[in-house]
Amino acid sequence: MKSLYLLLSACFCVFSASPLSAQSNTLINGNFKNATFNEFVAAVEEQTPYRFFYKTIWTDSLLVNVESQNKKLSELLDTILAGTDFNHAIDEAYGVYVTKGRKILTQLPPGFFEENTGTTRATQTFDYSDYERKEKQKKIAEAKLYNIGARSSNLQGNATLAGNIRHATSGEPVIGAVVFVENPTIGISTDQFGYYALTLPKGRHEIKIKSVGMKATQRLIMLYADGKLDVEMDEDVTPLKEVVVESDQDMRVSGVQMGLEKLDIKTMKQIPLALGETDIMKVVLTLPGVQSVGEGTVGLNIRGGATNQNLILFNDAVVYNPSHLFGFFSTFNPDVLKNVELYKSGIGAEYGGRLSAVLDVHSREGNTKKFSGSGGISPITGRLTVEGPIIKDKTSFIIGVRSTYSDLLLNQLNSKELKNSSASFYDLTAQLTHKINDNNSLYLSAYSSSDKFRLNSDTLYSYSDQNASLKWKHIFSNKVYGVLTGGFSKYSYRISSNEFPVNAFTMDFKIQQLNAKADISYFPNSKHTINAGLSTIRYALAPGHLKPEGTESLITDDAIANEQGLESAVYISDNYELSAKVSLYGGVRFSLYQCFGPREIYQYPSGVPREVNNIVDTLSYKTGKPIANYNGLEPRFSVRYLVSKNASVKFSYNRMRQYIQMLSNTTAITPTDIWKLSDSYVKPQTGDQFSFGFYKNLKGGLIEMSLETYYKTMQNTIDYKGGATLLLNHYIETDILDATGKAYGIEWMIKKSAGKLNGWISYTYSRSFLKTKSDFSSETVNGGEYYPSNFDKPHALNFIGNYKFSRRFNFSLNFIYNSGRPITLPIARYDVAGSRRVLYSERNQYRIPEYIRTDISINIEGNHKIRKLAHSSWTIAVYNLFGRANAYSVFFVTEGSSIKGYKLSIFARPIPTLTYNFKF
Amino acid sequence: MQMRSLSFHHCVSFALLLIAAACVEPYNAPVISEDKNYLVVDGFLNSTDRTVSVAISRTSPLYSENTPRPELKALVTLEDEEGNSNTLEEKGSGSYTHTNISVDIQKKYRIHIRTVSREEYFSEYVSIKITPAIDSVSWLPAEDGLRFYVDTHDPTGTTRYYKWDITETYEYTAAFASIIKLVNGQVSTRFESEYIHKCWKTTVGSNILVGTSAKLSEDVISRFQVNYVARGSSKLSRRYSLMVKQQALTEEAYNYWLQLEQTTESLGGLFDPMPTQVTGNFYSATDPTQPVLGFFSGGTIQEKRIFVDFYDLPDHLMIPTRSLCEIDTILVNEIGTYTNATLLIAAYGVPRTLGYLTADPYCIDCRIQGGTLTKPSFWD
Repeated sequence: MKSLYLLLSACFCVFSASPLSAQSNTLINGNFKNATFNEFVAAVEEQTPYRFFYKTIWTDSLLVNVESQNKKLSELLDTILAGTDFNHAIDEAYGVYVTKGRKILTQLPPGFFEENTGTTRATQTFDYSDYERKEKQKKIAEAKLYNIGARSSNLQGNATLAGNIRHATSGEPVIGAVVFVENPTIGISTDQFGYYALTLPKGRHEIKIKSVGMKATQRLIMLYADGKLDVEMDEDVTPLKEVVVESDQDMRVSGVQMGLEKLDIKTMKQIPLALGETDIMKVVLTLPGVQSVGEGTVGLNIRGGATNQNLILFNDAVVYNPSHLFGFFSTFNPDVLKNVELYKSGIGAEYGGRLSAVLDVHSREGNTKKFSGSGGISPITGRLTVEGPIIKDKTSFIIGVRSTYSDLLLNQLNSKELKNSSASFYDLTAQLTHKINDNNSLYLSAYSSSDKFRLNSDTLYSYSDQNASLKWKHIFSNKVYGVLTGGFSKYSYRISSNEFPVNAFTMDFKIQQLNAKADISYFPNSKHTINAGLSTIRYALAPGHLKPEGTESLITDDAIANEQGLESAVYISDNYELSAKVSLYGGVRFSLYQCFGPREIYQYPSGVPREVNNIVDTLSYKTGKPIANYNGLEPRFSVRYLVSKNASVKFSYNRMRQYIQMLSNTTAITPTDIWKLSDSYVKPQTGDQFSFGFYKNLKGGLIEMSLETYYKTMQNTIDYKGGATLLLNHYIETDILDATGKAYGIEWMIKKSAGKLNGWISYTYSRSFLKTKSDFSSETVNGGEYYPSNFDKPHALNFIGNYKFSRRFNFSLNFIYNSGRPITLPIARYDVAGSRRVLYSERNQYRIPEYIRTDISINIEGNHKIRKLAHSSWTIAVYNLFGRANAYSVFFVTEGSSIKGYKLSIFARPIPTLTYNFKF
Repeated sequence: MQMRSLSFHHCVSFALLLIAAACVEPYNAPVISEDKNYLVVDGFLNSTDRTVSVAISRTSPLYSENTPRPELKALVTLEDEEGNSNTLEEKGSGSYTHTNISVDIQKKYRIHIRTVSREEYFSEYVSIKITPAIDSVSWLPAEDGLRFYVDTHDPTGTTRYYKWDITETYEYTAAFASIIKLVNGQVSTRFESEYIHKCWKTTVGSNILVGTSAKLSEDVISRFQVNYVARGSSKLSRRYSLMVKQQALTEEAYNYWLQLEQTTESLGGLFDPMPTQVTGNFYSATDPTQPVLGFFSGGTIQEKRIFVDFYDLPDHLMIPTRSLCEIDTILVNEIGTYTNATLLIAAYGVPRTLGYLTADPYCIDCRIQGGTLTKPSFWD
């Protein structure tokens, strides 16, 4: 039996080897012992028709030790050249080419003459299905050899390949796709425009492209000189049994960036949420190191920083208030979003202006190929998004609107409390993309939102956020491209009341910023990526204007003086691959700020507390006259050391400066908080963060583990005197205090990003403290000692799990545990003026009970036929499944003669929601 | 303008209703065992009747039900800026007063306390604020009750900060009028002087009511709500009276009361200002780090009283008080087994008495609901 097997396989050998071995004299006989390569060549050429082409200088040190009995030349050469960087190729005319480093292809690749045969293919009657056609196109594209640059024989040196990675069906850029070659290992990920630039040795390469949720693809190129290669990627329409959610797995270990969390909208949509809508802010809250003071608030506290210390960017425009309906919704319409990047440490030099973190939110670009739309209906909101090309493959738009029918709902609830209440919001997001030519693109993005509410009173609150940005991207050459951005952001609110004509008023607040920046990216070679740029922001603030309303009103017109400021910055950074193991990032940002008139500044003498009674003088500054100047260097540095292929350690340091701050002495941010520019009294905040991390991938990147620690110090942050008045206060500097802060923590996360079961578990231990420093006891909090900040929650455990039973049925589970936030509790009671009062402890000396919540959601998709009129899905979610009454706040009131403590919980019982989503 | 209207604590209740899933539960804070023993001083110099009164006590543990511990045997003096002083007389239970002081409204005064343990406390010097007269106390019907407002103004424009204290007095009756009484087993007529049917009850408002016209062009307080009475309340069943006392405040005093109100009366939502230690204008000279609670101020008091009769109410508020009282009967031959504690309403049976009507004492004796049978002097 065994012999028969051998015989058969021998026969196969003969047949399969037939093209070259038809002539028996191509087999070689001979014994070579310490022979030179030249001697070997001479012997072979004598026995066979083979003729060798090689450089004798290269091979003079190569010794040949083989024994051959009717062996094929290719086998022999494989043995001889094994362990060297020589390659061999044999063509049909018996030419043998020995090359160093690169192999020569002796045949034209399949598809080389594709362009000429295109017409004949079009007449094929075979009807491929959409999927099959795409697969075939992909195969053709992958097999084809693309010649980059003018053909030349000079293959010395490097050349740069650049281009855009786009979505094959919608034409959207693919952000964060990894473009790499394996030998030598050179890779880069695409930027926010889907652009990449890769410097490689000239010659033949296999370029691989991978991205989250997209089918990995590759291109064969012959790189002669600098050139372009645009690649379209297909969405990963996974077969029924296989579920793959890929992420930037390699970047986590091998990238120099640390403290970065990237989430794309697909991941976010799987997470169960209250109120039936995907909310990026709530998803971000499940990441390690991110906390908020309570449920239903949008403010994020990242690594012990205050909510206003986060730079929230929407398509490069600053967002001042990211919340709707008191924070139950975030302002970002999920249908328009593409992804969000959260930088917690190692913040690049291109970002500045906030102390703590950067939340960079990008919207999608409209489909450049065809019109489509999507939408959703949930119990509280409805939303619709439409997108499509204006000029096919050149200009596209996307526009999304979202609104609430909560007013309708309120009217249905037959409650006397709500008789006089109303609440509504809408927002509109639009983006226009225009590709002028290969080297120039324009991006116009706009956002507008409005909120109105009235709470059982005649006082109407309304606020609106507007921003717009225009970007022009110009590619100078394969190695250099630049982006010019102009932007505008405005946040304003109004409080008005007309309950009593005598007291009828309106109160307005407005902050506005105009900004411009120029960024340039330069890829000099495969080792360096250099970014540089300059930016300027002009702030204009109207911090409060109280006006009478109606003729009977006795309210005096009272306006807090406007504030003006100019913040400019210049930066340069270099990402440098020092060796295969060590990668460095170094950057420096220099920011300068000026606050200028017209404004009046009160002068307080030194040596006494800063109080209204102590004002000695008032200085009047004319328009444009500088009031205060500040500037400073902001160094940024990161290093990565690859311990093994799957593990790395990283260290980073960054300093940040902040010239604009939000003033809020409530626990959570409210729409009526005011912003304040740095001036003579409010010094710019500075923060330093040291961060150290260890990253490991297991099972080929299927499981990612990370452990990061950080230590952070903050100077000149804001604290408040007890009972400070912030609204309409002409002497605001007397109510705010100069504080220093420190925060430290350790974050551990394990993430499985693929498979039927995917998700993450994270645990964070973190602390955050503040300290006020002053010579006067009236200007200190808790006697000038460090005390826990409002968001100091030491333990946080998150579990986000997702299980796909089938392609159409998906189950998700969240589990959240947090320590309670610090509060100030009453410690004694006393009687004054005939009633019982309480005395509070020093600030934040106690905690509310811990927070525990479990949510589930089930997502049911319609059938997965690719061609149908509309795709729809249903999401059934239960928020707070066990109905645990988590404390939102604890408060004490005097009731008659006794003191009663109460615990307020919102979402104190399970909240089921049903959402219908559609896509056409 | 009421600055309170700019506060944000309704949000939580709104969210609560929007989601219809929120709840408020009693909460027992972790046991706070430390017994802080801080001094609490409440002082007022009344320039109209030229008296100064100071009440001194100590703080108590949070959940203590005992009355505050008074500070006894302290030496309390009223001092002016020129060093003149008057020593106050101790009236017992921590109360100290002095009458017939010559008050110069141009001067500033302070309180100086020396406790038995030789600790020295001072208040800041305060100026005397003259309070303008109350223009009117008025009421307006709302859907579910009555709202009471105060209006005042100061033509000189110097007052700006106001505090009000309210005292409610109302007449009410028990459910059943008793015209007979049971004394030692004998039933006899209850004379009018012995009636226990109609009572008057007085309660002092415990909420802090402060307002300011600082943001107005004129020193006018228009329709500041000082009280609210829900419809159907027994307060409105016959006749209701509200006494409003108005006191002008300095800006510091206003801020003190406002903060005290915000930290002890507001709802405690995330959108409320964080609670803080509210101290007043006293400080300890012995240990400056030790908080001293309470406030000393000086000035005059203005007051105004209004009455609301049941028949003045609009129709939708004119609803009689609901009573759950039921009448029981006692037969004549059984009356001997009842004690004096049994209250009888009247006899039944004509011409011969068969028995007596009775009910729970709560339904017969109005005093059980907290009032007194003595008609206040101002009631007409």
